[in-house]
Amino acid sequence: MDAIFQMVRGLWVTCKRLVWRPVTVQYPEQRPQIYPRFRGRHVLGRHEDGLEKCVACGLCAAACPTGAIYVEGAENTEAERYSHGERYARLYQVNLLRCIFCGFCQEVCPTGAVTLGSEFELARYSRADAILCKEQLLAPKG
Amino acid sequence: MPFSEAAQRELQEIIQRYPDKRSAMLPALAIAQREQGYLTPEAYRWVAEALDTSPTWVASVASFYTMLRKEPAGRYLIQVCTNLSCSLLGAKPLLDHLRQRLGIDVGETTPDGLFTLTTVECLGSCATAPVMQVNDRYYEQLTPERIDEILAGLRREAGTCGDDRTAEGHS
Amino acid sequence: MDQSVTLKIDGRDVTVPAGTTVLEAARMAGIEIPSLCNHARLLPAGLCRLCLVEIEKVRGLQPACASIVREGMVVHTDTPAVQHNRRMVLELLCTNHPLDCPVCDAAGDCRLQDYVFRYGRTTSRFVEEKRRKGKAIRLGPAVILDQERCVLCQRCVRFCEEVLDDRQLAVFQRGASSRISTMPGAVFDSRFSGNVVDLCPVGALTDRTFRFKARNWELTGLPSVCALCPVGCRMTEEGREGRLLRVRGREAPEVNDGWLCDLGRTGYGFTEHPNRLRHPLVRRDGHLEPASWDEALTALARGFGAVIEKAGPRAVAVLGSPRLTNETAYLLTRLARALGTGNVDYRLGTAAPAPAQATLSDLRQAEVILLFQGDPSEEAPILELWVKQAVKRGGRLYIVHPRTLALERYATGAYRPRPGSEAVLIAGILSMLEQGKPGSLPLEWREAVSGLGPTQVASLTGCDREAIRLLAEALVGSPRAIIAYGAGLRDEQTLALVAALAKATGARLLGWDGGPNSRGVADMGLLPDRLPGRAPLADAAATAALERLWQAPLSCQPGLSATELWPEMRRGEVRALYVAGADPVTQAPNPQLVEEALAHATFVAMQEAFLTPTAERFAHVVLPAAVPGEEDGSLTNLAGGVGWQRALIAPLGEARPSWRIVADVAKALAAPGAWEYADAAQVLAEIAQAIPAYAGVEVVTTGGYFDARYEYEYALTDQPPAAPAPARVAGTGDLALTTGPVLFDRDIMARHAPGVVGRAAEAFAAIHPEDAERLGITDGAPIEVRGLFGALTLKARVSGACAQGTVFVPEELSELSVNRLGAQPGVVVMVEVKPLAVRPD
Repeated sequence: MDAIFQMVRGLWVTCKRLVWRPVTVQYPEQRPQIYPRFRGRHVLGRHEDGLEKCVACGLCAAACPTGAIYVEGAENTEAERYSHGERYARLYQVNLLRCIFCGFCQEVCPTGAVTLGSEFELARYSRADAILCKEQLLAPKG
Repeated sequence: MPFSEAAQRELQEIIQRYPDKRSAMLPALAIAQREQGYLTPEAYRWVAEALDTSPTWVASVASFYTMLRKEPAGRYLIQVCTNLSCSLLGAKPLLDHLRQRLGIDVGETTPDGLFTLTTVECLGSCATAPVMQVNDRYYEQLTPERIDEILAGLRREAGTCGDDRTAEGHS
Repeated sequence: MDQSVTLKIDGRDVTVPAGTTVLEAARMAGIEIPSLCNHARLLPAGLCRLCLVEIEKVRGLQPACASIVREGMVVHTDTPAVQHNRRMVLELLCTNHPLDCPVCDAAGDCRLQDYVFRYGRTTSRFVEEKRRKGKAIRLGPAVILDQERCVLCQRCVRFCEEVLDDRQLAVFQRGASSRISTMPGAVFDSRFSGNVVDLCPVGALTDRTFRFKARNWELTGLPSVCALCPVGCRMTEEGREGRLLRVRGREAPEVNDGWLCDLGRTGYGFTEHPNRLRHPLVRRDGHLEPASWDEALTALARGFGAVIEKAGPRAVAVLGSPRLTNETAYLLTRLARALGTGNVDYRLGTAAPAPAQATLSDLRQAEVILLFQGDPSEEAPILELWVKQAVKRGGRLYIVHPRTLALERYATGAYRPRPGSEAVLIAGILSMLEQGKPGSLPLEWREAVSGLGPTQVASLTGCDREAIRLLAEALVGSPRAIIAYGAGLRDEQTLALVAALAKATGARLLGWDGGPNSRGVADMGLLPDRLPGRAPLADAAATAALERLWQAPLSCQPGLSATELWPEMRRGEVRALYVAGADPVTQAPNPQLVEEALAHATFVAMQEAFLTPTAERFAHVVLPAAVPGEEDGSLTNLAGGVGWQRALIAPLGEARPSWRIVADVAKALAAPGAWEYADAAQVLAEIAQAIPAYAGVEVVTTGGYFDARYEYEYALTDQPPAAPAPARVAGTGDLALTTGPVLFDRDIMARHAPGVVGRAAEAFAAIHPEDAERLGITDGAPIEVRGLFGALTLKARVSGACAQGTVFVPEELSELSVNRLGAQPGVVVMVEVKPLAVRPD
């Protein structure tokens, strides 16, 4: 008796689900919704005038628990200006294989240059490709 | 521009008065300013050599004193007192009046090289405030009209007489 | 000063020497009192007001840096009043401080940052606009100033005043507008300018070459030793990701006391120079082509093997250089002796330095200093500071030099003997001593100096007779006299006389030449007539000990010196040459002879970091060597102290440490004995066994470096000095050539460093104004200087510092070989100088 009741209860669940809307997303044809606080690939922001926000202070690299970030600074010149102030990032690399997307870099950044964006498709064919350089990380101009 | 024999002599005489040569630094700078109208690196070197010290040190001391000029002044150096008594009696509007009449800001010189306008802290003549000093002369109890008169007078003077000494040192 | 004082700091009894400041006493007791302006090596200034503490029975807060301890004093460093003052001072400092730590090079190594973090307020009550001052001002070739970040501690100003005695920096303007600056239009141009960057407690003064390359916390550092001049300054190498980025001074009171010259500070940029050799090169069809190490070593073994087989081992010669580490030099000596040749040397126109009898601390406290034929400012910069310090303490300085030195301001006496008569001057002083007190010289010396009466000496040298007497008196009269000879002394004969003078007067000897490690290399036995430890070849006991250690029979035949080598090579007697770190074509006194000799050589192999002219034209095999910063090794400085140079980064490309190259070559040549060493420290351990004087020397792993002194008797001073022969005069011109190193051009590697390029003067020749006028030469005009082997086109520098009748040409010129003019030890070269017509460009 109890067994029959159990079966009916199970079937009830099954039948109920038959008429429900599916919850899976048909990725990649269908794009998933990205929530505002999602932590995806890093983006290096720009100021409104197009100059880079990053000043190569290296705090992101210092805060990174996995050592995924490498920054090397250099001096802006009159002829070649990349950022406001005297210093800019000559090199900015993020190793996606090491990154755990904890967001410390974003939290520590004094200029708000690093943000973890919405990009989540991070698979690469080679390990070397997983190291992103500044040009790949920078937000497009304008 | 080399320094005159007279200036050299005067400097040596002043140095004699002090047990330490470097004590003669301010009078020496005043002489240099009187000679050239303002202080140049050449003047610092001249003083440093006479006082047996480094020109950088001399320049450093000179930079402390606003009455030691580091840039050439116009023929008439107008110093307007903006300290308490004068300000209470309207130094600020008078200064604005001067700025407007001369067409220059504080610290600037008119394009014709006649006037340099500066402000100064207390000329010590509060009883007759507001006061301004033009080169070595005091003009007291100023009003805008009086200023216009003074400027006109100075312009006349510059037009008529020849080479008058400008922007004297204030030793 | 051996009295001690006991006081109470924060309830703890502290006993310190009398005269100590409260700040220092607290530091000794492990209590930190924050201070920005105080510095252990500068006098107290009491400027920053951050170190104010409470002292019982004294009204108001007192500056700890300027208060001297007294018996029974009770100090409180952590009361509410003290804390309040610290908070206030820091808040006020931060009102105009830009707080741009993210772009500031000092961040992470900034006193202000640390103190605000530890003692300051978290927020500022200051809302007004900050005061704007100058940013990124290029003070000089080495230093950048940010006036906004400056806290006006005046450490830099005080360094210029107290240490350099050259006030180039000062505080300008007043009050809140105060700023550090040079005189309007002037540049901060000092050989020691970089030290102000180390001194700056904040990020106001930054290093031009290091600027923005890395953050302080990203750097790894190693204690090391500078390999660019004979002082061997103790320094710290700092780098990141396989790059050497910064060099800073390290506390070492007995050597450089934390200061560094700008050559040491900026010279290490050569590690990254694009012209560095990255692969071995082998000559094929007349061209040097990249090869593997195996190929190169095989070619080398074949080349040397063929020569040894045909003409015996004595047809092989080994030429080292004073730039080598002790380990490399030692292995080279061992290799040569094991192969059976005595033709080893490193001296290209210099004399092997005599033993050092004084330390640099002795020099700082000397009562009398005779500076003979040396210019510390260009040859061993730190010594300039120490000589100044000795004079400041009341010491007397006497200078014998062909030019007017920067130090002459401090001299009690300056002597400018005619070129070639320097030895006569020394002999004259010796003879004066004998006359003053007969019997004071050993009998055999007397002959050497007899016949040199005061009048004759005065007429031969052109120096005042009375002045010479005063010098003699000064040397005899002081127990703390030092005779310091420099790179201008090049011949053994004069050196023997100087050593005799030291012995006769009781003065202590201190000497150097142009090479950074000449003393060490000579100690290692890289000499044709000496064994390691400078034992004579005939010393049977030493030979036997070395044979046991090396497990190989020794060749104890005296070989050819580097001077004798070239004619023999031209005649075909010496056919193969191994060169380590030297560039004979530009460095040897007679370039023509050297070129001819090298052209006759059957086989030439070199180990070098750069492709030198010799390598390019004559080498059959070139092996890429590591440079300082990339290899471990010990260096012996001019005072006999041994320092350990550390490898911070890996050698560039396929380059190998120099000592390892020698061992590899030995193995390739199947030289007898064991040549397996794990590292340089192991070679040093063997040196300690081989050379009694180095017996105690070992690498102390804690701290990573060691400093050792050793004493040894070198037979030189026991040889009777010979009577000074009249100087040989060569050349047809009418001006005597003098030469010597100039600081920023002196090192063939460091001159490639970005921070050094541009600081060396363009190749010049200095000439006295009267000579210049006679010859129609104006300052800055191109002139031709014609010597024994050719002519150089140089820029004239008309200067009263150059004695009349002489012309000074720097020894190492970036592109030109001064040896074309034929400067050589013991010879006065007369050169012809004439103006060149300016070609219109």
